[in-house]
Amino acid sequence: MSYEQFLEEKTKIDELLQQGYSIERVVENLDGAFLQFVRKARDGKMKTQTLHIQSADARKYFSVRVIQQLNNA
Amino acid sequence: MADLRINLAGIKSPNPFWLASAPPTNSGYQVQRAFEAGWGGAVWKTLGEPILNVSSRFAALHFNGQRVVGFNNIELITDRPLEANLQEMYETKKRFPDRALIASLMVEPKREKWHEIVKRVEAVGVDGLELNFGCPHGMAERGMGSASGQVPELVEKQTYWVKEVATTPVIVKLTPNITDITATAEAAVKGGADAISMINTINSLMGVDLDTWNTIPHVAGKGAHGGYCGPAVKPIALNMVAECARHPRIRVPISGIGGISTWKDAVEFILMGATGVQVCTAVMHHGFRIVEDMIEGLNHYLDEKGIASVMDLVGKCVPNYSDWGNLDLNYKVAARINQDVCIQCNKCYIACEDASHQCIDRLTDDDGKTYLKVREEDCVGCNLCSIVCPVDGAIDMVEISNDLPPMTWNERQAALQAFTNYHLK
Ligand SMILES: Cc1cc2nc3c(=O)[nH]c(=O)nc-3n(C[C@H](O)[C@H](O)[C@H](O)COP(=O)(O)O)c2cc1C
Ligand code: SF4
Ligand code: SF4
Repeated sequence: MSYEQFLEEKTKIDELLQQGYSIERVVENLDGAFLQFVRKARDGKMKTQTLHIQSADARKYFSVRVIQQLNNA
Repeated sequence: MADLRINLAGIKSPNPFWLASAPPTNSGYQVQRAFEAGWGGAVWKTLGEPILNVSSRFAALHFNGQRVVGFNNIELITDRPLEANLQEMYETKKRFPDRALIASLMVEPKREKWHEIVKRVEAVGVDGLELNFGCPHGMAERGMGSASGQVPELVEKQTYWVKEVATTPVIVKLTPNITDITATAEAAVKGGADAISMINTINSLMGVDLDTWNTIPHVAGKGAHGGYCGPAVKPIALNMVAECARHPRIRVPISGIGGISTWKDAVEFILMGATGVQVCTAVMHHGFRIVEDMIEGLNHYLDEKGIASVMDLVGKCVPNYSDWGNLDLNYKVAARINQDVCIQCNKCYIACEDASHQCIDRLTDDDGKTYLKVREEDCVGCNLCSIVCPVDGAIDMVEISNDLPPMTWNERQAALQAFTNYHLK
């Protein structure tokens, strides 16, 4: 897995977090990690997004963000 | 001059260097010459009912021009009657009262056998006993040595029998031929051991002759597994010492053995929890006088570090030894090639390309000269290139800082679990 793939996946995670999404669910399996993000839209409806994270470094990275989110909860 | 004296469970010696129970401690003549050379202690060749040895009993692994990287033997315990050994032990102790003289013992796993030998041996004035639960060949077929050393209950029971009558400290010498040495170490402690020592030799077959198809060594065309020791076993021994040293229920001093050839090896064992060390193969290879360099080297090291006593080194690195799950996943190192030192042999390039992460580029500079450069962002810091590089200083493994906080696997898994629970609420 190359550095580019890590950067791409990290950017996607950062973008969603910047847009106000938070990580809601983490499922890890043979294919890597699937992250479910949620955000409350202005109309009050819940919006969800899913990312498939494959690179090892990005899987470390989202774990750090999960820990931060837990600490801030 | 630093203080090199050690005290291992009450056994005192002027320095931490002891001869392990083996051919160099077979007789009073040898042990006394060793003491003249400066050895701080000696564990006598294992005593028990005198055995019969085969001829052709040693073999060694030579690697790339380096002789005796590993050593293999199918020798048993002493073949001399107890009384002859005891007489020489008495004389040796009388001549060298300040040295540690330890009797290594092995008898059948019967209470009265242990009582008998302990009483007879202690009567000559030894400083301690070492129970040989480690010899992996020959004696094991008779239920002794590693055969009883592999069964925690037998280790505990026999240690207990010895402690019933022993008046000197009892060291239990453990076999490495077991999945988890802390299991037998703990059994020894439960049985009342005052200290443990490790390792004895590792089951081995040194080789096969490609022309005759005989084993190496062979005895009239037949071979049997032997015990492996020497420099090749050091990492295995060091780990076993460290695992015992950090175990919460193994709170007795450790005598470190296995592949120790220099003062540096000894310091590593001491830092990882050994109170002293024992040496066999290095002495069989180079003779008793290696202890002079060991004493001098250790002295310099302690002086240089400003440490007054070798006892202050004991176990200093044990807190650094943990489980994999406690290592920081966000710590990062990367390889950096020093162009002015590199001789362009390409070893690192091939290693990274064929066996690691394909992150060394072969580039050409403005003058048309080729050079190698690591793409640091893709380098996983595996160390392989620096391991295969033949030139000291050509590759540095440098720490790469990042913005991520430390995070261990255990912390990560705990957090993900807590996270899941939190969101299920
Ligand atoms: C030829 C030979 C004979 C040995 N005999 C004994 C013995 O009688 N009792 C014992 O406890 N260990 C015996 N050992 C094991 C050593 O004491 C020591 O535990 C082992 O060799 C590891 O240390 P080293 O790597 O410094 O050789 C013997 C080792 C060798 C090579
Ligand atoms: S440390 Fe490993 S991954 Fe990095 S350049 Fe060297 S061999 Fe390649
Ligand atoms: S292995 Fe060492 S000397 Fe050889 S090319 Fe690589 S850095 Fe240079």
